[in-house]
Amino acid sequence: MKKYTIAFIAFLSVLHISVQAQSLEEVIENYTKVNGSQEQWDNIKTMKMDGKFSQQGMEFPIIAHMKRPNSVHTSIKVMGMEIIQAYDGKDAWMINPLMGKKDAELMGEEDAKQTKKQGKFEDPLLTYKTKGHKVQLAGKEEIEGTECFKIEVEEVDGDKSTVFIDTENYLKLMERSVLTNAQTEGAVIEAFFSDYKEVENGLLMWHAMDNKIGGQSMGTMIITKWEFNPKVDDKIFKMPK
Amino acid sequence: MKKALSALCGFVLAIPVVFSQTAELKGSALFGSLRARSIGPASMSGRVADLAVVNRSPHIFYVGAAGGGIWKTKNGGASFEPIFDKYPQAIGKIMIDQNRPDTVWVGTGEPWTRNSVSHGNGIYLSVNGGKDWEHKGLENSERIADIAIHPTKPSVVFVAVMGSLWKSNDERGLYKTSDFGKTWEKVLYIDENTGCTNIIIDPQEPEIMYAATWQFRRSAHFFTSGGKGSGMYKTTDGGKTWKPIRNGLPKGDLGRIAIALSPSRAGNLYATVEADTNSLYRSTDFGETWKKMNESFNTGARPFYFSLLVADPADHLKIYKPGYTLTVSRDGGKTFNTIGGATHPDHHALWVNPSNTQELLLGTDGGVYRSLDAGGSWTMFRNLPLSQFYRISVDDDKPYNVYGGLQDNGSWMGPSEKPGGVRNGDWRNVGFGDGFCTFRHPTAKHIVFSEYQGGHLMRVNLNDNSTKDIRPFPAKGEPDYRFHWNTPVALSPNNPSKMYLGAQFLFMSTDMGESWVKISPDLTTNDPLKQKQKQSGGMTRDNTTAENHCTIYTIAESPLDENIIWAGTDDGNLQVTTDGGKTWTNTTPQIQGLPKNTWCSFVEPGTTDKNTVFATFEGHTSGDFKPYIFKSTDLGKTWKPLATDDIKTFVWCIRQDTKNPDLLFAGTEWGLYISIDGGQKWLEFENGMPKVGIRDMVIHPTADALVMGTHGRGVLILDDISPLRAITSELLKSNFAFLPIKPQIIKSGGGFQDFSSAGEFVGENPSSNAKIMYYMSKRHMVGDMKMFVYDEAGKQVAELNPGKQKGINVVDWITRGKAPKAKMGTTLSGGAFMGPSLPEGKYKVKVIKGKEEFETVVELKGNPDSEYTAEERKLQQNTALRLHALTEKIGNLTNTLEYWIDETKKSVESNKIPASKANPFISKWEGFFKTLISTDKGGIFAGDEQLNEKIIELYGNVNSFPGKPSQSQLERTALFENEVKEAERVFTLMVEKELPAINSLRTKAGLEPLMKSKEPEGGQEVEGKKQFRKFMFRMGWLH
Repeated sequence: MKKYTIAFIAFLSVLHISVQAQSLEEVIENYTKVNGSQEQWDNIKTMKMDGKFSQQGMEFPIIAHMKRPNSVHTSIKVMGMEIIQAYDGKDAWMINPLMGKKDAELMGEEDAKQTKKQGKFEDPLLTYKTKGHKVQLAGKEEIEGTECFKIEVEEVDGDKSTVFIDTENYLKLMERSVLTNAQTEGAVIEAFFSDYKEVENGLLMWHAMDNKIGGQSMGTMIITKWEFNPKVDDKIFKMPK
Repeated sequence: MKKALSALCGFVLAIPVVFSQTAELKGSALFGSLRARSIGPASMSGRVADLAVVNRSPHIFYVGAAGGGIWKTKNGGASFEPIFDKYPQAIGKIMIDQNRPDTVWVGTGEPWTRNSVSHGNGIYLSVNGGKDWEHKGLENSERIADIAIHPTKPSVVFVAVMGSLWKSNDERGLYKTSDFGKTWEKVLYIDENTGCTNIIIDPQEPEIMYAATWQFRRSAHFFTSGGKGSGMYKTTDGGKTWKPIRNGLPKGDLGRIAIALSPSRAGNLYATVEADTNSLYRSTDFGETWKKMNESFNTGARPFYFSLLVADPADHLKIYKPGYTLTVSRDGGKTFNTIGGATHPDHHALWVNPSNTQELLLGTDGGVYRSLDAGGSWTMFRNLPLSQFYRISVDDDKPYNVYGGLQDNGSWMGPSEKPGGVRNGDWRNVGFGDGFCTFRHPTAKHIVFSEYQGGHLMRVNLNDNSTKDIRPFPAKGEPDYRFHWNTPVALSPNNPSKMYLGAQFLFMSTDMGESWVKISPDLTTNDPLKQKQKQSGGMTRDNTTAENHCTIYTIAESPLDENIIWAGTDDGNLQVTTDGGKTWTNTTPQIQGLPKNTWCSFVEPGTTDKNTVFATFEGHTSGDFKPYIFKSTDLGKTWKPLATDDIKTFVWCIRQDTKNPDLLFAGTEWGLYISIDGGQKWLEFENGMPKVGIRDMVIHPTADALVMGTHGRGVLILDDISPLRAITSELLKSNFAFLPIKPQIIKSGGGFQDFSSAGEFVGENPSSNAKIMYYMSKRHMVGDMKMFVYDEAGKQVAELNPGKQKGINVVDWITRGKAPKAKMGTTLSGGAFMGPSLPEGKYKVKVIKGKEEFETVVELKGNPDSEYTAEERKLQQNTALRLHALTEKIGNLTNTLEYWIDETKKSVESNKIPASKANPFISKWEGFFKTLISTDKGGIFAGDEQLNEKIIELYGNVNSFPGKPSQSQLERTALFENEVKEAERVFTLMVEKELPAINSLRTKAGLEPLMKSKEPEGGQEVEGKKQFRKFMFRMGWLH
């Protein structure tokens, strides 16, 4: 698998296939070859992400756990305090000592939406046929000087995003979405992915994600380790009583 | 396997070399993260062509600027966001579908056809409130005056296309789409000289519509409003057939007409009609017959500029007339009252809130105003940087100031940066009327020259604000002097006391304009047919010097030879003298490919070779929008064209870099283009740069900044062009290459407390961080990419997030060490958030990219202009480091104590250790803890200040001043060192005596022993912290 992925990227680069017009199916097919198939992803039931959020020399450790179908638990440490956001498929909650609260509390509806998005396990580009997401190839667009396929995604739950896949490597270069949390409703956030590296199970995963709003970097998420199918206690997703 | 991975990565990375040839290069792929910044000003704002408000949510509205794009507010104007920067910035009409307010149509190209007007390229549609726009055709319409959306069928839209101001064209008249702009049908067309200016759909009976047509033409030297084509039309079958309306309107040719329909009374209409006598008419029978109501000044003034009427949404007898001022009639047009008194004159847009007709929004030549008392009083929005510069200049102060003149808003000077940002109040008014060339005298710092239209040159004394008119006048027997609307003034780059002024003759003064020497004959064609401005205007005479022609428009003396002077004229001459004005040669006959009499818009003598010259020409006033850039290397004997197809519209100005002669900048009507190869290839620069007209620009000789005067977006600055100087075709072939980095001057001084800028535009400052720049031939996607900075001893001082994009990457490095690992008590100690300044010296930057490593050096230098000696700065740095160490020591100590206390309390609560045994320790430790750090739960207002807070405050104070610490501060530092030493002595005793006692209890109870020391988590760089908070906020982590 590993060998095949890399060899395929090199193959694409040599041929420079990107100059030809391609259908959505062809783009997704190539994307799948590079990023892993649905079967590969189906085998993953839990995921752990270890990393840091880095901004101008500052670093904040982040650990996230995800579990199918849509549970997520994210912990970020700031100035020695741990902030937690989590969703168990039913309730989205948080603990935020930065705001002076040490107890868990339920999030408001808009804020919860953002957290629920983090819990999404599946890549709609891989599952759109089986799950019924609307996925549409909207031609090519240059993103920061690099040619990309532009793919509009509308998931069955109504979440919308635009995914840009670079035409040379078939890797996701950027994902554009609109923030839904109450304070910043309507702000467009662009997540730029890079530092793709192969991980234990042969998947090619990003290890750096730069978040930009209006072209200005808000900080970079750097992943030091991806783990697949680690043991995860269901309890962590539930709001502590 | 890993080996295979990296080998293949290298392979992948090596491929694109083949594809990145200069010829294929695009601006977006080269300029990477270089970005222009805006410093406004918004104090006086600029011309607004239209306003569109969501009637159901009036806090959401759009401002369509004449040359500055579209700005949207979602908060009633507390803040605005530019949402149309990728498209031409001249806006004609914005129309919201009020039934689906996220559907917004925009017609580009301003309809208020003054001499300086900008053009558009068709119609755009957004279905998400302006986030994304789709071009929907009418590409050659040049300007769109009105849009009407069918009240029940949203896909049906009518567009009033004015068409070209400068030439005949047939893409004009009334257009209809029934499929959201996929296809268009021309439903009303008069001829190739007549456009449509108004379209109104009857809201009750949408088959009934009214339209106005206008015959008009402008040239560089004449304007005609009116003719056979002008008229009013009505349809009763949804636009299939139109009949002219004439009953009650004046006989003979008409000019520009504005129609308004009263929504509150069926069939009630008003119209202003330009005719022999410009008047207001009213119809009460669906436009079948009209009655003259009024011919007051404001109803009839300048129809080409003010043909707008707005009917009150609730009262059919009330009609508003935006014009030179704003007037309103409350009796069906019989009489008018002025209500726009306190606003900038010249009104082009008005919205009356249908739910509360006391609320008005008004768009003027000087921004947007709101009234909440039906025009009794007005508030101006001071956050719309729409200023329209004609010309611009800079001085050599540090930081430098920018000078320039504006459309209808005088002349101004303002700083290029200011602590906290450049604010409206930082701009100083130094002129009147329409402003143009504005300069500071190179040596007499209190003298500024400014001018207003038609060559009214003034010398302004900044000390007492006095102004002296210093125009030259014709002597007996001389012809009248012809001064252009935008008269050129130029300073000699070689002789600070010499300045030039151009009429048809070139004048020179060496005494600040007290006297002038004529140093040329008439340099223009002096064509009498182009000097009829006194008859200009068509049906309404309009002679404001805007049509003055056959004049000198651009002047430049070679920076390398005082005797070489260039003068370009608006009628197509480019004259040169090599003997200081004794003899002149017109060089344009030698230029191949330039249509005769094309306006010379700019002349730029070579910066490194005195025989070289660059000139731009533009023919937009005769309908020729092609770019013309020419270069001569033999003083104009032969010329080479430099404009290529890369440039999409006409060119206003050109600059040659002072250090790399192949680096050229072209300011066009639609933004900035840059050439790195002497003009063979032009690349559009789009970062932070809207498609706005750049009328003038200057390269600051010492700041290496490109300062642009835009006609609609104020002053835009590209701060450091030095990376562009380093780009060569050789370098473009490399996968990764560092660009030369200028030594970073350690800045001193910051801002002061200021909360009053809310609601106001604040211009962005240049980044004060060191910038590490490199070029990559393709985006980094696969494998690690990291960046580290090391000091001379090889110690890592920073890890940075490297940019990964194709082209030039700029990485900001805050040149401070790590903030101390401080402990926060209940009283917040802000001083701990900042690290100490890194010392001067050379720092190594290393980039790891996959298996490859790249290195460069960044030098940090003291400010040579600093008032503080190197020795004093050294003392400051050492003292700050001593206090940094103290902050960490006290932090470690207090954090450890707190940890002991907390853990011991827990063990008591869980009944692991008996309270009787633990409590004496706890109370002793708490007592000690309280003397070291603030514990009062009252928080920031309780005023609790212990050793920890005192040390951090002193650290912050010493750290933020770049010179010698005060004697008191030095003494206090020594005092604190002793106090910390004493605290450590006490603490050490606790570690030796008390900790083992507790730990033995813990061990017995099966608990982990307590550690001897626990250091606090680090403080953070304060700027970074703000950014981080912003991010957390955006992501919903903070609420």
